[in-house]
Amino acid sequence: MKQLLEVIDSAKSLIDENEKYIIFNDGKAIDTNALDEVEITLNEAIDFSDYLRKNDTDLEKLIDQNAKVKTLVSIKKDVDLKIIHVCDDAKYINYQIDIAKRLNVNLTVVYGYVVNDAKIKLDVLIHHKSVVNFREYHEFSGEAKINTSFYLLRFNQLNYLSLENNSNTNDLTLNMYLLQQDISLSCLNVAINESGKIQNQNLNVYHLHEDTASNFNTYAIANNNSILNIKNIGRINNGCPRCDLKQKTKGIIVDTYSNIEADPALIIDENDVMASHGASIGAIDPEVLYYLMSRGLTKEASEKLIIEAYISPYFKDYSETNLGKYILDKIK
Amino acid sequence: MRLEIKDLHVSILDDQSKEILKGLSLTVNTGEMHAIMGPNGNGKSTLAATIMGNPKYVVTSGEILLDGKNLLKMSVDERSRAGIFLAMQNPMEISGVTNADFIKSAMQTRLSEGEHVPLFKFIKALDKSVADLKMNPDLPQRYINEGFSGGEKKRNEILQMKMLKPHFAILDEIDSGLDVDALKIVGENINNMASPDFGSIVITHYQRLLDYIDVSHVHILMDGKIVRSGGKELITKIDQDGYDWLKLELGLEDMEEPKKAVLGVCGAKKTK
Ligand SMILES: Nc1ncnc2c1ncn2[C@@H]1O[C@H](COP(=O)(O)OP(=O)(O)O)[C@@H](O)[C@H]1O
Ligand SMILES: [Mg+2]
Repeated sequence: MKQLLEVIDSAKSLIDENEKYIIFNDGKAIDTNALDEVEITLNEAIDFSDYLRKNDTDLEKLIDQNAKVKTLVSIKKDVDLKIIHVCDDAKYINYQIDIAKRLNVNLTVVYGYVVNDAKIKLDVLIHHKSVVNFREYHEFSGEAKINTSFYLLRFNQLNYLSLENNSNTNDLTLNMYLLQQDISLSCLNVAINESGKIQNQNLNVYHLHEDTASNFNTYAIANNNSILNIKNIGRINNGCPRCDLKQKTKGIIVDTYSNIEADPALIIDENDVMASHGASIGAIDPEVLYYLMSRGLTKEASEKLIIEAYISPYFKDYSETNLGKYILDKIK
Repeated sequence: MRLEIKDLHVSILDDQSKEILKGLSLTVNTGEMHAIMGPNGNGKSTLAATIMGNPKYVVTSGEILLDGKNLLKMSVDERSRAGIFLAMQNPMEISGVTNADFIKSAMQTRLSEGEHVPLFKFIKALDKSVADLKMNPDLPQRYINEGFSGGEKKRNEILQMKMLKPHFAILDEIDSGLDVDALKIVGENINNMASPDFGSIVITHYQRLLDYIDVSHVHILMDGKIVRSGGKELITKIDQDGYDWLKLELGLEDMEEPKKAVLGVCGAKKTK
């Protein structure tokens, strides 16, 4: 790894003007300009059993037991905040984000400089009536395992966007717990695997209360001998009427040696609900390719345009930000 | 320039035993507007697709030459850049790519390295073409054909043609799905392309579109071949009598697609 200061400098180049930031090194917050809006405390974790009794997975337990510190980021005011992780040493990273009630928050988490085989656990609690745009960008070069859970309370609106562009084996688990009424969740997940390795994603949405809505869209791309396994589980518990659950996975397999396995599952224990899922995975549509080429674009330029178009929802209103530009440049 | 099709035989890739074009010959020069008419299912779209290079079709013999150069050796994009344009019968919808970006990229491919489409001129030309075609002004910013009506898709093909200025445009049933007003607009826009540098092949099985386009040559395509060529008088003849007289004369069985044959319609007279 380059000198830490150098890495932090390039991490900071991803921050936009007027944006607040927190830089984490090996799971510890080392630099921030957001102390007006945010409080950062160590080892004062939220106890999620107040909200949800659940059995932690082995990975979660492992991280809870082994992480040297547990950082709590408490957001107290409206803010545009970017959290950037720089990590080359810590094996376990454990942190929580607590967003107070009635806020408008734009939050971006970047795992851009994580070079070791880190195991990461992030829990996000959003208090009632807050509206949150939460964006993630993953560019792990080590064999990362990451477990992110969102705990949503009443009248939350969460717009979650994530793009994964990892160059190694990678396991991702995302849990969305809709715990109270009138929650509206929209998720856009873009998974690009060109690593030549296997990457697994477990994407779970749990409707644990009546009158909650979720819409989960995954766009997957596998290229260069890579495998993507995407398990999408949508669950509506018994006693939770009037839930609306949608999930959709689309995948493009670019070369003949890659594969995308989409495994959607709906577990519905209630009658008065709406639930739908669908998956369509395949090569680039030859008809579309032909259409673009018939206007003079080369095969390569056409494929590039199709793929850019495919992942464009992630960049909507974002392509001019520093991070947006960085990612677009990176995935060219 | 000259586009020459010589004794062309074409089959479908998936079923090479099925020959669709059975020795078709046709020469089109720039400065000329040709109409190809014929009943459904006789190979008009196959001809258009083969000229463009659609990989679904295989040329088993014959040749297509563009100014003497072998077009069949060229890839689809090379043909486009060489000046061939196909307005497709069923244009694709492509989400995430705006019309404006697409057309600009397509124009960019015609420039040499280091050259760029001048942005201001491009926007002006695009706006003008959109207005000429009486299209919705927000259209350039919408995704390619996504959520367009049938008629809007067809106009969008003509928009691309106007912007790309090909030497030879093949318009495959550009009239289907157009109402009377749209038909007039599209027809007039095609007619206005007329120039010594532009040749066209207008494929249709109704005469309506040809009311607005001043075609110089008319051909009838049946059973995979050009069976008659002439001037505008052929249009009137087909309009009045349909194709049955030709079938009789040529000793052809009814080659309409079975579904249509059951309905017993006479190709040219049919209205929706
Ligand atoms: N891709 C294809 N696969 C199978 N059959 C085809 C295909 N394209 C054309 N055909 C068949 O070839 C014949 C000619 O079709 P087409 O060229 O579309 O006719 P037209 O445009 O004159 O209506 C029809 O019988 C049609 O069913
Ligand atoms: Mg046709």
